[in-house]
Amino acid sequence: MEEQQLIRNAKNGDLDAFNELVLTYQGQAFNIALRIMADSELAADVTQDAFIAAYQHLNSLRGDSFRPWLFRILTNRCYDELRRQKRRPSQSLQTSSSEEDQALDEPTYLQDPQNSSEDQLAAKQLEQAVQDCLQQLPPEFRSVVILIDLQGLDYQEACQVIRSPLGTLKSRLARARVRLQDCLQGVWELLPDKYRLKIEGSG
Amino acid sequence: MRKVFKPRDAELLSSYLDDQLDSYQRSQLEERLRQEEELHRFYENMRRTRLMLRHLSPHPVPRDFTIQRQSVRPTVRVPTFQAVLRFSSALAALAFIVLMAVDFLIVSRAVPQLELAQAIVPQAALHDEKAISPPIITWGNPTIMGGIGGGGSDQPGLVTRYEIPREQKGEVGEEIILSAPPPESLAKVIPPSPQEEALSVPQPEAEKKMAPITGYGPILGVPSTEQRGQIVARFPAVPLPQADSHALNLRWIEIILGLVALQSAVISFILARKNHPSSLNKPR
Repeated sequence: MEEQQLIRNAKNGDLDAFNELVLTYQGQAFNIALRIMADSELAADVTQDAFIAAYQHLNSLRGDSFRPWLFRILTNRCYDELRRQKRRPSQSLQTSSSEEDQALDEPTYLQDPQNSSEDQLAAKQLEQAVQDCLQQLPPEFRSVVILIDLQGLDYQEACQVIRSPLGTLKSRLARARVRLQDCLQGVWELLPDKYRLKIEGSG
Repeated sequence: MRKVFKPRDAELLSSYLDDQLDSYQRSQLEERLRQEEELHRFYENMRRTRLMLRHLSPHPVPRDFTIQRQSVRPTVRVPTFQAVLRFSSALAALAFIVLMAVDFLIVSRAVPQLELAQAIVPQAALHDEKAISPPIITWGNPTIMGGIGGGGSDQPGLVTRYEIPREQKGEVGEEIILSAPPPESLAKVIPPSPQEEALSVPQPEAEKKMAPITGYGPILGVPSTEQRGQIVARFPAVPLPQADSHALNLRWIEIILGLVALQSAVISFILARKNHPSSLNKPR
């Protein structure tokens, strides 16, 4: 069933139709939340909240595409949670050293048995470095670079998500890339040649 | 030394990477990239950064985010009537507050007006006094013992009257002290009036000749018989503040708005209780 039909059915209270939309976008939504929040548990909670909120406010979706509308709800929830944490910083009593949590933090390519251990190590280093550098960005820059460079949204969709004009988006993206460039300057050289070639080839 | 590029250059390069430049901008930038080595290096770094970001694989979702029916509160469609009521209640409450504030402002503005009026009235009275009050003359000649009040002297009271020259008459409230009869004013000594003569004679005779005092003098302020009983307006007629009809209207509007707010809030509350999801589950 096409997306518009699913949305119409969901608006009429068809939860199964909405859950099909959830299954389509949950991966992207969770990864956006994870990159913004840098905490898998918080990201999962925020993602779930965002889907529930989207279902409850589905009637307010008029004319917009579903994906940017959903991601706007999600990013707003992430910002709210970040603000809440800033006001009341709390340290979780639960340690995150369990195997389950470790598996949760590892992206799919790290679990791929075809990847060599060297590649896995390099990928893990890159993953950690990128995440650290993303955390140093202001939230409005971070969300733009996550949406465009990590999730592959086009400029128009990203504008709808952040509700800003194209010029603002371009400016934020450029500044975010320059900051990340400075932050990740040494990482590229530390990556193995083979892995670098792999990255170049993927581009 | 590393060259620092302008934000405009970074924006151009970023847009160039995403193929967001028009053909003219693209050709200009490509020309610059061929000529400026630093800019080309900057571009390469940005391109690699973008590659690294794009190369990151997505994390697997930790759980299924599909929504269960019991986890979602049923969306209750608020009836239009209730929404209007809720709105009217809020609007009436808001209008009530605004009117109260306006009312308060009017009252606070009225207080200085009252103070101003109180300050004006004595001045008006003084002005009026100037117009009609006679000068106060104190007969303070130390050589004259007794006086009109009499007593305290062995000699009979000497009543002396001088005609005061016009220019010597003082203003209202100004005392004219005649310590001694000035030579000029002594020129014309007014003969005592029959009443004074009557006072100067021994008492029994005076009682026989006593006639009712008919005149009135500026000092005593005794009104003449014609003027007795008449109400003389001593102050200019200041119009008394009327009961402000606007304030009364405001009061009525406030009361009506308060009642509307209360009534619609109560109805809205009752309807909300009726339509609350928890009440939907109650056995009927």
